[in-house]
Amino acid sequence: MRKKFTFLPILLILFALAIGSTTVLAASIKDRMASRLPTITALKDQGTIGENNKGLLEYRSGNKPEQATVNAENQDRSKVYAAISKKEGVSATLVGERRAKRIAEIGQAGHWFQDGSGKWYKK
Amino acid sequence: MNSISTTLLKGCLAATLLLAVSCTRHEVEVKPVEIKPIHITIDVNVKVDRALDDFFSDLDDLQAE
Repeated sequence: MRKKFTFLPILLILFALAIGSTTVLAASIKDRMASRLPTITALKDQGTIGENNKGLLEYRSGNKPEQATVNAENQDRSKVYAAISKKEGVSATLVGERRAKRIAEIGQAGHWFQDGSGKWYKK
Repeated sequence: MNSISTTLLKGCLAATLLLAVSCTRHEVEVKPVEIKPIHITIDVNVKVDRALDDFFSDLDDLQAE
């Protein structure tokens, strides 16, 4: 009986830490994404990068400025897709494809997007 | 006596015929509930879209500004 009362607070602390760390991780990814937004938007405005049909950024030519930023953004997006796929019990590919559709819907005119068949188009 | 037995026999025959006619069969066919894959797909997509919106809505709003 006493052991139960000893373990209960420990379990509660561990549970709180697990929830807290997930929230912090999500927040930090979101913060990083927000900080990259101006650079990514500028690259999209120039037509250097576009949004592919997997929910990731892709260079549209051999010229690859700000490659570290683009790679970091794609890595963070992949982490989010993986977390959602795990939570919903679906593949990360499906999550990425669903996100790509949404990005294309809300995307700005003049930016490049890839449709489901792989064809690039300017909105 | 003979007429009584004849009447009884006729009565029995009539009762038998009535029972045979009034006997009906009722069959209730229970078909298994079929869940179409398309419904499952839509449901999964809706759940995934909601989860994506939960995470990205702030960033999307920021980009729209």
